[in-house]
Amino acid sequence: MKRLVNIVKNEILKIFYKKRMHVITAILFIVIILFAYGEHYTLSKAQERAAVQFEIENEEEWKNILELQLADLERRLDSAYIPDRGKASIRVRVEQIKFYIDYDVNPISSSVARFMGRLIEQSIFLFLPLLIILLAADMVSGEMTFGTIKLILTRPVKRWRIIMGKLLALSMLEMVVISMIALLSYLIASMVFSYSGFNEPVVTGFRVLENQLDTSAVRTIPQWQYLLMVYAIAYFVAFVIGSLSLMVSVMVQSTSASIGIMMSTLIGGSFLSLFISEWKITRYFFTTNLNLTAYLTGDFQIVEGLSMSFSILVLLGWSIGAIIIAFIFFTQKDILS
Amino acid sequence: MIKKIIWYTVGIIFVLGLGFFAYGFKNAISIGNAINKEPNNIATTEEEKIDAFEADSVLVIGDSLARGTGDLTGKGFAGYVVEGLEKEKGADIPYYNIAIEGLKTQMLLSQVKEPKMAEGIRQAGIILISIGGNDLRAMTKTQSEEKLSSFNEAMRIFLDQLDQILRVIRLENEKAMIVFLGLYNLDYSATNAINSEYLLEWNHATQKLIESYEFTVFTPTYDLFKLNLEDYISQDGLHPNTKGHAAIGERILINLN
Repeated sequence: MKRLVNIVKNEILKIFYKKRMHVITAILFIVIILFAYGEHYTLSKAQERAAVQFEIENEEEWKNILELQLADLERRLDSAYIPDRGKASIRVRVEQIKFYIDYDVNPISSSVARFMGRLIEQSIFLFLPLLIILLAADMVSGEMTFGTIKLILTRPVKRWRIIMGKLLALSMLEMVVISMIALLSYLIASMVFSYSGFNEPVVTGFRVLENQLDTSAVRTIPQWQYLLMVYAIAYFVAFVIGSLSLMVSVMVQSTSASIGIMMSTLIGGSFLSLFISEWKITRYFFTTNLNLTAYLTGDFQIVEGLSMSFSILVLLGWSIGAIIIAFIFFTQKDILS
Repeated sequence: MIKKIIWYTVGIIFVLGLGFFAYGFKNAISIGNAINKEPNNIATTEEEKIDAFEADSVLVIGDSLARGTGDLTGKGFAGYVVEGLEKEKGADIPYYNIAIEGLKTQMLLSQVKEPKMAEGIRQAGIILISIGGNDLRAMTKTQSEEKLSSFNEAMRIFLDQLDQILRVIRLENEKAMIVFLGLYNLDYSATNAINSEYLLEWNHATQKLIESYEFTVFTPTYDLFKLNLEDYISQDGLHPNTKGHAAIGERILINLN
């Protein structure tokens, strides 16, 4: 046990000495700043448009419009001609509007919490996996490239311990990356958006029933709870991508090959699942299932048989498979100079 | 020293993160499966109410205007009419508002044809209808070259459907007073002259159709809003506000007396 901990510690320090985390932090910093600026810009434009449309001259008038909408929705709830399925979504809308009125929040404006959620929702299927590939792709192949693998393997440590150590170190660093995204987006968003909004209600609870989006179970949860969910999902995705990258890293000799293979698989896979969604086998691709947060927000494309639990199982299958292959390959491998 | 800091920071972040995320992940998986806790019986009580229509009731059908959209009190012009009638009669009058926001004439036609509507129509003493605004607006929004022909086509379809609606109502109920609300303009300025002309023609043709039936009254709103647009239109720029609804209600009351 002590030996394994030492290996993990050693692997983590190696990553830090290679300045890998610095690069990732720098990329994150730039991307988040750009994203925050873009979000701010889009929203201020939307506000201006809305102000023109509703002929609003001062802030106070927002409330009148919201109250009008509220009265309207509440009347709709009383109507016998709206099916129960529709009523659930009206009810959550009512809840949201009441919150905006009670807390004096302009609905067309972003908050720190909303930004943090949007960032991870947008990056979970491409940007986050790319960062993880950057982190994981050279864990083993890097040792081959520089020849340090021989130094490691001549030590009296079992091979499975080494690869286990690498896997654990990777899992820990993935957590660091996710926390970094959360921290950086929180700090940057706090400077751009004035309202923190961690208690604001978020709509979630969408399901697919008989191939249709079922909104009868929608409800609101506070934003902080939602954030916890999406960041947890992001960590899961990072873990899956990490295990796949580790497997590729074990199998090829050079880091660039390993990064290249993972990136092309990721991008090619998303293309495939986008264009040939009719073909049923694409739902078993890991790329098709990466966008897990969409199941929470309800803006997913409805594909028969695809659901949150299905996607999680598929991803889990891929990652377990990848880990097993990586272990077998690494322990059986012949190291040639 | 630095080694230790790095190692402990990463370790602490990992352990804490794992704890938080385990909780988050569990929630995320269960969120879609939970059952909506809100009671759903509001709907059934309303349905029951409609099943038990009472004699000489006031029935309101049509679009959002009939529903009362824009009126902050939620009553709508129909509500004011009923209040007025009740005050006069000194007793409660059963009142059913089954108007739906965004309804077009085609949908109203299928609504009145529904079997459960028959009883409601039969029991009604007064039927208030507001329909056609959504049809006309959908047409005037388009910027087509052949606007005139598309307008004529839209109006022909509207009149045909309205005629069918009135016939369905008359089939069930020969004596109920039908009050049909004319359309008002949202822009009386000269720049909107073409659309205004269409609207006037639409109202005129509608009025002629309404007048061809017995016990009907066409209540115009065009004149009511012309000089009071700022005062009467709510903030959505489309529906009357509380004052506007009250004014329409008052006018219908005068007509009914």
